[in-house]
This record gives sequence, C-alpha cells and structure tokens, in this order.
Amino acid sequence: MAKNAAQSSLDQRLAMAKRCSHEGVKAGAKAAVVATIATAIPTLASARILPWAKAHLNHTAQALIISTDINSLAKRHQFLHPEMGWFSLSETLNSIKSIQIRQTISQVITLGLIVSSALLIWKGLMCITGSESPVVVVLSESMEPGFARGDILFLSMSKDPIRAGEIVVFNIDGRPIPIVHRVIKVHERTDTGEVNVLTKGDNNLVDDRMLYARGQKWLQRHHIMGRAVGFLPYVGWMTIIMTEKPILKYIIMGALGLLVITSKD
Amino acid sequence: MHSFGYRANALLTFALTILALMCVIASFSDNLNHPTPTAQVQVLNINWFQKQSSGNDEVSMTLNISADLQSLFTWNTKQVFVFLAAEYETPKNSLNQISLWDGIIPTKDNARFWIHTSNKYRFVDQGSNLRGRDFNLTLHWHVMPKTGKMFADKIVMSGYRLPAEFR
Repeated sequence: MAKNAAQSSLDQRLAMAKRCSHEGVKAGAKAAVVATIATAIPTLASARILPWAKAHLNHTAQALIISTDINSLAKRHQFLHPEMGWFSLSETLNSIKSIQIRQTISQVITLGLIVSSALLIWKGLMCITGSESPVVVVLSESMEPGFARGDILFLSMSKDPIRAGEIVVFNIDGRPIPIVHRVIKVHERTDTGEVNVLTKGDNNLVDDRMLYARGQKWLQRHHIMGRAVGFLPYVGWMTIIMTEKPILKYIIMGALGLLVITSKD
Repeated sequence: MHSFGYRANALLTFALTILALMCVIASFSDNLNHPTPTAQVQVLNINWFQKQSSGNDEVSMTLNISADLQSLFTWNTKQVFVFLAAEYETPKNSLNQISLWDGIIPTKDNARFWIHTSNKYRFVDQGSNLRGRDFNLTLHWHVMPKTGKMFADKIVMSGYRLPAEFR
C-alpha cells in the first residue's frame, strides 16, 4: 500500500513538472532608447533589420513587428493612392532614374516607420506597465481552464504589495523560461516589508515548491516580473508557431520584406 | 493596384480592427456590472493543532463555506476562481495570508454553493504563533474574463480565534 502511494505521488510530480516547464517568453530587449533611435534611422536596409530584430527582441516583439507590417501594408496602399497621380505627372517631367531613387527612399522610410512604430508600441507598453515583458504568451496547461496555451497575458509591475490570489509571472534562478501561476500564500515581514510568496498552478495538484530552485521554499519580490492584469485569447498562437517552426518565421518575414521592397506604388 | 492580395489584406486588417474593438467593448461592459455577492464561513472543528518538528505551528480544521457569487457573472465571464484565505498578524509578520481552500466556478449555475471541507492546503505558520491567535477568514474571488481585464475582490469575515492549547 505504502509503495503504491509513493508511486502515485511520483506520477503526480512528473505530470506537474511536464506541465509547468514552459511558460512565458524570454525577457525583452534591454536598451530601449538606443534601439528605438537606431531603428528610426531609415537608412537601415531590411536585410539588416530582420537579423537585428531576431537578435535583440523576444518572440512577442517580433510577432508585433510582423503584424504591424501586415497592417501597415494595407494602410500604405490606401494613403499612397493619391500620390500615384503625382508620380505619373512627374514622370513626364523627370527622368525614370530619379523616380526610382524617390521610390527607393520612400520604401526604405516606410520600412523604418514600420519597425520603429512596432518598437514604439512595445517600449511604450514597457514604460506604462513597468514590466520588462509587458506581454507574455501562455505556453502550458498549468492554469487551465482559465488560461490555455496560446492565450496572451498583459502584465503590470506596480509598487503595490503582492497578495494571495494574484496571478504572477516569476523567474526561478537557473530556469530560462518564466512561469505564470497564482499566489496561494503570503508572509510579509513587519520590519523589512520583505515578502515570502508561495505559488501554485490552478490546474496542478500541488504547490510549486517542486519547481523552485533546490532548497528554495519561497519566492521573494525580486523573482516576480509582473502580475497578470488582462487577458486575450488565442493571439499568442502566432508566436508559438513561429517559435516552434522558425522556418515559417523566415518565410513570412522574407515575403513581407520582399513585398515592401518590390511593391511599385 | 486592386489585386486580390490587396483586397484580402484590406479585408483582414478591417476584420482584425473590428475584432479588437469588440474585445475592448466586451471588456469595458464588465464595469457596468455591480455585483452583490454574499458568503458565510463557519469553523466546525479543529481537527488537530500541533507544532511541527521544524518549529512551525500547523492546524487542521473543518470548514463550512456557503456563498452566492451568481451576481459576478456577466456575458464576458469565463470562470470565477474563488478561494478562502486565513489572514492574521504575528509579531514578526505584518501580514500572513494562507489559502485554505479554492475552487473554480465554471458557470453561473454553480455559483451558489455550499461546501463542507477540511482545509485543502496546509495551514502552517512561519514560526510558532498560532496558539490563541485571532484570524480573519477572507473569501477572495478572481473573475477571469473571456477577454480583457481581470477583476478581483473579497469579503472579509473576522472574529475567528484558534485554541489556546495544542490538541
């Protein structure tokens, strides 16, 4: 009997470890100002921007750039429409070569605009929410049925103390991927104001002590990256797919880059 | 100029904009709901009460929780997460919150409930301060929307006290 009980608790632990292992996304880019200024310089060619984005931004930000790109393509064709007449007029006056230069400059500026506006949104969110990654994608089932895989959470990191029941995103030393779970116990010290926090996934049977670093019993304030304040279903699937099938990401980025460069209007 | 690709693109952008707008409106509509939930909790029995070998006090109790959270549900509510926490103050800690029981309410029909249970999570203090300790039982709820902002609130029930001696 005793052996059976031990067996089943081991199974539970294994199942939990599987569930909890992947959550959130990697931390966002560090130098906000430098990055924004650098991308605002429209002379950056697309071939240079895409590897740069890959190196400096996390997956959510990359997805944001792609979606902004898709949207602004549509907008571009709307607001550049009237210019067609102007272009065809100038065609009669100027040589073909100067038009090509104009087009190239206009395209490069548009591209710079797309990337910098996406970055602006991302960094703006970082400033408003005070969280290093204002948006995270749920990658596991540990918070089912509340949060499913592919949902996105909006985080904020205010000065307010952490209280039981809040859903927090935390980092464990030695674990690359942050975890999104609910706080079930809080002990706040009178003298220092330091908090000890214990978390648990709604869909898990036991608390998270198993997931913490060896010998760690509580989370402290510095482990916590933010608390979830808002929720949007399904949107994160794009990020998950792009992370798991990077080829798809390069195809989409390549196609969009090509579209921006080659489109004539 | 008006090729299939451009039309599809414009249509997709428009559809996504409308969808985003609808999500915002749905989330905003939650603010119009003014819930009036009620809850009662009784401590029926202290099952055992002792000091662990680590020096921390631990207590096990039987609880009777009844609540009506139906008014929390709106059309944008996916589920309500509800939990009962013991909250108390000790000389070392200005606040201790320990979740004793929790549950997920998936629909409005299940939101009026009555449950007789012993504590689901261990009630362990940081130290040995539980004898004769006054504590509050607080029913917290966390409304998880189909989309948008999450809401949380609580009902504090005070006037509970642990026994003066271990048993």
